Amino acid sequence: MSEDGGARPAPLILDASVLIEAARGHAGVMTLIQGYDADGQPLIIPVMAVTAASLDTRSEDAEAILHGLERLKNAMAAPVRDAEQAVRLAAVVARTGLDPYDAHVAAVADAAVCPILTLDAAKWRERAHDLDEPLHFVEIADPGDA
Amino acid sequence: MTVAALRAGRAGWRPQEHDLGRSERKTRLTVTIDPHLAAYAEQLVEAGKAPSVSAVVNDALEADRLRDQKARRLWKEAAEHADPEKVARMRAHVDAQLAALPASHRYR
Repeated sequence: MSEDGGARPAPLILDASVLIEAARGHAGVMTLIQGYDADGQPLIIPVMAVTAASLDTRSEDAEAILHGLERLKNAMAAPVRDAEQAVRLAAVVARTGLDPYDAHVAAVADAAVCPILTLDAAKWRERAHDLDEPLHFVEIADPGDA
Repeated sequence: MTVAALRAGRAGWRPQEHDLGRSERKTRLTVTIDPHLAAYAEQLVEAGKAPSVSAVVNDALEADRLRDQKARRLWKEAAEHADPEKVARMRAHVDAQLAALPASHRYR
């Protein structure tokens, strides 16, 4: 609960698919993210997912976009802080079969009890029950494309 | 301030370029930085790569400012180029899914 007693929205965890499209300059995804940020929606950026996006698009523009993402008012980076977290990340990789980038997303979502924002719902649907508590996710899609 | 930022500042140290973006008016302030960064700045001065430690810090901050400026421009351009109706549909789709989540995953 917030200080004034009102409920605050739970943070959204941005997965690698979202960060990859942002780094590629996908205007719709970037604008959606900016809209949530402007509305005060907390956004969490797992640093390993940033690594995935940076690996996908090796350019100065992509680097600047990812840097800018962290500078959004309501965005916060989630690091792999210490050996304990690194070992926990390895455990999530082993249990889910996810790559380390999205395993970090899963680990953060699991620890923070927050939904994952993704462009790849199928991936998370497969992995949603691999941890002790189910992972929840929401998919970015345009129903108009269906 | 990061080593990378200091290095980024160093990249523009050909004297003519260096002076172009530099204001003649300076503001005096006291800062504390990590010892290894202070040593690095002093090494640059001793090697003749920078006129002063202040110049090293100034250039590093300028590099950071330019990086932020570029990031802001790219995000702003994305918003200008996006199809607002498409973004609105995507937002409504995400919001509907968020509303269907258990309370544990919706609120703090």
